[in-house]
Amino acid sequence: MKIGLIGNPNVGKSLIFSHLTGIGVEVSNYPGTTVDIRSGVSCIDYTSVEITDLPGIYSLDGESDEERLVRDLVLSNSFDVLVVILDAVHLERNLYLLLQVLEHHIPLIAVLNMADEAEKLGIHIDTKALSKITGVPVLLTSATLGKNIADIIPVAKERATTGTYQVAYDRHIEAAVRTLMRVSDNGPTRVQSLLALQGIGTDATLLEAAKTISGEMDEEHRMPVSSILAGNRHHAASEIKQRIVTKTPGRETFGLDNWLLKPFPGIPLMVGILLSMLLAVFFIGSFFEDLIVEAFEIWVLAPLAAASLDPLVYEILFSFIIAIQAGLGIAFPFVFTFYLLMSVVEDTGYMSRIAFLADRIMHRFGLHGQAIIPMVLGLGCNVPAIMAIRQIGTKRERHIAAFLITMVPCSARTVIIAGIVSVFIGIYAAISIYLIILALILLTGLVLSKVTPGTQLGMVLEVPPLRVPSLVMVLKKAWINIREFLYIAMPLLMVSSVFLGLIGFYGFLTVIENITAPVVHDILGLPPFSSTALLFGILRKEMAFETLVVLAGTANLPEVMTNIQLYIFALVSTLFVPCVSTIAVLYREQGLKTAALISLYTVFLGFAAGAVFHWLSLQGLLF
Amino acid sequence: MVIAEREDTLLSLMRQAKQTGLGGKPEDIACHTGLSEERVREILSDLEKTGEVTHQENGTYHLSPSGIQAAEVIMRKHHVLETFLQEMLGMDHELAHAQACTMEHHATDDTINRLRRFLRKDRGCQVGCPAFTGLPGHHGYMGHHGRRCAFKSLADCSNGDKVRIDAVRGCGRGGRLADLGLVPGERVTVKQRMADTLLINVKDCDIAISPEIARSVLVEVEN
Repeated sequence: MKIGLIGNPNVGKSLIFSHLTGIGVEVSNYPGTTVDIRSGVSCIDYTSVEITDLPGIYSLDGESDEERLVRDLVLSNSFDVLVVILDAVHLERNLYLLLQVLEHHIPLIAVLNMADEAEKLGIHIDTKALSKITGVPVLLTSATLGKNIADIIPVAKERATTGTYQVAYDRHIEAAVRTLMRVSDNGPTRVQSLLALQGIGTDATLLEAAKTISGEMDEEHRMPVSSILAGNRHHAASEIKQRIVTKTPGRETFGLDNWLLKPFPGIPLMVGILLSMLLAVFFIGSFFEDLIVEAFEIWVLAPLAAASLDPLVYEILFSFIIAIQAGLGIAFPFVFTFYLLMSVVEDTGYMSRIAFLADRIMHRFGLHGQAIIPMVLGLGCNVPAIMAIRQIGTKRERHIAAFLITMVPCSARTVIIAGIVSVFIGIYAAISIYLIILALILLTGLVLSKVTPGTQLGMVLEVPPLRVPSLVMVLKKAWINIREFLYIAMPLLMVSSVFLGLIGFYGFLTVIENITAPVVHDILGLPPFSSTALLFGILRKEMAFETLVVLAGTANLPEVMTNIQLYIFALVSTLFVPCVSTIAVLYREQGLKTAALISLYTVFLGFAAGAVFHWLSLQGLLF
Repeated sequence: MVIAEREDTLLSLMRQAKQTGLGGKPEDIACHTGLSEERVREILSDLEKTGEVTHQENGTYHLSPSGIQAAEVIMRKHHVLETFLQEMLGMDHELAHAQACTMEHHATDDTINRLRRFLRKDRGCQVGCPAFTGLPGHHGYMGHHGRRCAFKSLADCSNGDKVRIDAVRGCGRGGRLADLGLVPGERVTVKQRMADTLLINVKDCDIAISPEIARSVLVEVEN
């Protein structure tokens, strides 16, 4: 038996899902989308039930990736029972989706979550009345307290029904639906006809007929059919709400939003929170990185060197272990810490507040507030950040965002800055690199917003109430993110490390160094072996650092390079060319042209910045 | 017919009062309305009984305060109907006036209110829309009556404003807006304005919207 959890974003769906399924959750990425769908299995009464957590949506008729995906799954009868999860505090808006789901005639039950919050606010809901009106079983639950959660599956299994309620649409719509149901040979259902009126569906004859009718209705009502439907549905939802919800004055909640959302102190607070997040990643990351790297040196690499192996075997094993060491040393300390903090920011609902506060400044760069979310995500890893661009509107906005995000220093680049500049030169030098990158991002944004053609769409984003995140959910979310990172990064890292080891073993590295030496040495003033390090930085950013250490033959880099050389190396490798995974995802999401353009631009930027610093140092203007 | 005659008489008195500042004589009213003088006298005495007109010594009739009110209601109906016929259906001014003169007596208050809202909504859509400005008679009408479009978008609202949505101009995010409850007729509170970005409350939920989106939502300030 298959059960789908469906509901608006921020209704506690994921928490209910994790209560129902426990461990063993699978995340699948649907082809062509970036939408993650999680499913898990639960055993009730000796039968296994497959539960799927569908992404949060506002409507089944919408055009976003999530909405389209959920609609397709619902239309293809992928689920035996749907569990519609509603937020009891914002019931009216949530009823809108319930009314839509009811149209699909799939057995369902309604779960009114956040009952505890509603109670605190003095909202009383007559679930019996709701059940009577809609004809489906209604449960009142509280996921944070775990109240009534255990009833969901049994009720869904035994009492789910298709419901009896039908939204009374405008009489023109009803007439159109009746006509359409007769017009096609396949005998379309009511919901198929309604969707066809909005241009959704697969039946060509039905769509064509619907197009003519909806065109006429557009003219007559002076608004698109989808708006008429939405209006009717909202009206029905508000009538139902009036019949089932009574409100007594509840406890007033302390308005933290009064601070967070005012320009002052909201904006200084936001800057402070983001900065302290970065610093936390920086310091916690470096601390644990040291521990992990050292542990590898002592327990694995030293014994390996002591065991007298065949040089080729040794080289392969050594590169392999170095890769694991680098991967773990970065993935867990830096990336995991970042995702952990990020999950907290997301689950409290602060993320959408950042979007609201940043909307104005983002408009300067031809973007809008929602684009700040992928940019902040980019601090962790550029790959998911670029995938998240899809949700931010027009082609122009996506184009600009792709450029800027690729320049955002991800955690791998943080490793370079932390590992080279901060350790050997000092923390202020490290901060200066961040400032240079920030300035370049701002400049690029300003220029791009002037030269990129296209229109701007703007943001519509729900700002959910602030909530205390659940520790389990935060850990789970961070774990799922890091798991993806490990799956993508680790194999690549191992292969490239072994490859590097082999070409080094057979003496190809000197050939590469000789070719690139003039550029690297004359323009950037770096030692020849650093060119190989820069090249391998393309595979994975932090490998530039690892490779440099390997090629220099010592972890104490100042022995072989001057401070200014280290600084230039770090600056160039952070700026120039995104890593292969980023290029690949840019190509997939934005097309070959944009991917090539961004790569070329960043190469230019990296070398230009490096050359400027080299020139300045030759003039004796630095340090 | 009785209602129509009564109302025409009231209107005629109103017009005369406006033009001359004096009351109207039955013969003048008969001339205006096209009724017989006898019939006018009958109606006037009826109206006097119900308290809408007062009879003066010199044989003229004046509107009482309640009479003025009644006449103004009819006048408003006339205006709305005339505007609709002329602006929406593209009727000639004279014809529209003549038609409105007969229709005004039968249209209910509800019909007129709906028509009025419809007219306003449409005018809101014409802001910045070049396709409409070329309509013949459009400018002429606006100039003639000197009425200004009293429309406001969400972007013009400030902190704490309570407004009602009149229309959402169809732009890219229209669908999402409708799903979140921003449909015509819905009440919206502006909670916080950060530069031009707005945080609004619809159906008890907070929603952040960019200025360009706020401009596409046309609203009316609630009293």
